[in-house]
Amino acid sequence: MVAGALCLCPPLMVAQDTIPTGVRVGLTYDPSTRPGVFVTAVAGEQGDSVRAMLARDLDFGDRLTVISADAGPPPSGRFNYELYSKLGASAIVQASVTPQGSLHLAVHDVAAKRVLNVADFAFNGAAPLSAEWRMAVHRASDEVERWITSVRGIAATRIAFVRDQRLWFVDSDGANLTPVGVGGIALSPAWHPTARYLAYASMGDDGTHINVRELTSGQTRRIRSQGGTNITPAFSPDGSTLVFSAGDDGTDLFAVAPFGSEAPRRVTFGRGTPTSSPTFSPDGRRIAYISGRLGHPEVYITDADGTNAELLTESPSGDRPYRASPDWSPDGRAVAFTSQEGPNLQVMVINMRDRKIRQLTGDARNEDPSWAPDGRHVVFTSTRSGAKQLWVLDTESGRTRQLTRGAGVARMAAWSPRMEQP
Amino acid sequence: MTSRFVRVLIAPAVILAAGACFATRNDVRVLQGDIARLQLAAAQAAAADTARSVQLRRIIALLSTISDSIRITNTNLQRFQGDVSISMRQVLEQLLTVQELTGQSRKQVESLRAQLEARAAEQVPVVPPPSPTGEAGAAAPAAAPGAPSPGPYQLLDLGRQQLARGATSAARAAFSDLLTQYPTSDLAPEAQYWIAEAYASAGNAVEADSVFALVAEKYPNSERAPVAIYKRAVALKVAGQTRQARTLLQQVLDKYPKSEAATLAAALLRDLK
Repeated sequence: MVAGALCLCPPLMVAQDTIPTGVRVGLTYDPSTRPGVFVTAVAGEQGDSVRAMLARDLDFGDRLTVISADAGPPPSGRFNYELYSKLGASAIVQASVTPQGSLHLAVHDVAAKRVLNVADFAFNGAAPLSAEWRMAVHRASDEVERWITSVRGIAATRIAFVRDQRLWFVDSDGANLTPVGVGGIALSPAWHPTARYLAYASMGDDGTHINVRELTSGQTRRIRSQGGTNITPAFSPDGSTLVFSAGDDGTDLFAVAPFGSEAPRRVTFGRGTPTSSPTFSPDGRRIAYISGRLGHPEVYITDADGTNAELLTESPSGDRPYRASPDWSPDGRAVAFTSQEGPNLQVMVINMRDRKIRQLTGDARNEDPSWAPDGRHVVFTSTRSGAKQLWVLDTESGRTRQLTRGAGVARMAAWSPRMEQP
Repeated sequence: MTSRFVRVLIAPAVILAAGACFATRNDVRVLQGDIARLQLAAAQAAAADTARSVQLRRIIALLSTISDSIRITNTNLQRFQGDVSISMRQVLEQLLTVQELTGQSRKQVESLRAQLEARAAEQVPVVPPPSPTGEAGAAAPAAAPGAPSPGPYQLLDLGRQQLARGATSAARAAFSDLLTQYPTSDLAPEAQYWIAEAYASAGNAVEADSVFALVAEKYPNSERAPVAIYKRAVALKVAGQTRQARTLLQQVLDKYPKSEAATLAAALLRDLK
């Protein structure tokens, strides 16, 4: 709950957006509640779009409750904080598009009756409502969320996924669905930590290969192949290493410098058993992956140099479940994975401290989880709406929303890091 | 084949017969004699052809039988090879399963022993404060007076939990306590190894390297020794010290050829050459 502020300011004020020097202003955010936030009307041609995007981003962050009252006209002059308080608002987001072509934001602390923070977010000349323009608004939303909750939002992110064997992007709010532009069959997208590159597996007449695509220029580099199958790439958190699965009779994990010329180095020795789907711990020291060395696929972890391999998802004796698609959370606390539960696949998460497994989904068939940068939300493939589509789950509240719609099977989602200012 | 041969012989006879309208009686007799000879020749040819045909049929049947035998033998061979391959693979998989289960069982045993130690410690009566002569509580030198001392498994478990949480200093303290209080424990090499891991986790590569070296030096017969040497080699390779890395990798291969680290070392050594 936004409980108050430390301020030494006049009790009532107009919509000022300057903070006196030497004064510390802050909200107290309780993660167990969702403080109310009111987004005021925004003047200008794209004002409605800006307001709608801000409100939707803050709602999708699942840390704030967006008050859906009629915004009325854009505010001018003195704010009636008492009225906003009665509406349940702990904070007010006031936005305007400046003549210089940037988004000006002020967040008000209702309890303290003053401005909490102010900033401008440049559109960098992007055309209104274009992908870049939208991303600038998303960045602003994420900052607002950080000002209020101390946790940056995840609106300025994208999800890469496979639809009908082609790579696609979609923004975190489900808008701006665009093909990546890779020819041929492509699978298993994986983001570079800078979000500037995308690794993926391609299939053609000359076999399967791992590729790294520079997203701005579209230049694609093929990683030195191991022969046989080359699939499921994953970047290390510092971006200096790319690990992928390769082999003929069974597969193993290999590590390679994605922009170097060295031969890939073997990381695992499955001795003819399938090993795939690597995912790095946030410190880059460990890798979780799938191996069938027990006769059925389970999640294992190993040191990144190949030592200390151990079974992570231990099954009760006699059980031979199917487990796949591990993804290590950005905070390092958990690994999400797919597990066969009865006739269906479900998304599970294992706590890395006590190794306790928790089921996150239970409705229809759910698989291929990928963590958002906040370590709280997960995107996954689900049949709950009929065909396979991407859904987003808040692992704390259990709230879900559908991300993709339309024809075709959407799967193998990979949530990007935050898209920083270019 | 025989009928075709007969047709070939009869054809000129028919032509000659067609011209018989213009022939004499003597010519007919000659022709009749020719026909008789031709029929005889045709019959002989037919007989000879039949014999050849029978021979050919026998040869073909024989070849077919041989071919079938070869095919069956080939199939049996392939099946045998497949069976052997499957058996080998099953043996390998079973071996891997046993290795995995052994590893898991060891972890479970370690965990259970840690729990037993914890329970045993709970049942230990409160030790009175030591007398001025220092007699009471002398059995647990490092423990606080009155507090039950944690066992080696508990300390190892505690250290690893701390490490998993990212509390590297606390983890090192737990492992160091294990080494101090139980220097002859079977877990001493583990504790030493995890101290190095804790340093590495904290980003202190220099300390990590020296402690990994200590593992191989103090506990050369432990399972951790080849892993520690391999870890040092990997760190050296990353630092660009390829020659030193190669020396250590070769050391793993020479001293611990059957260890898992040797498999990794061999692969890395191949890459470095």
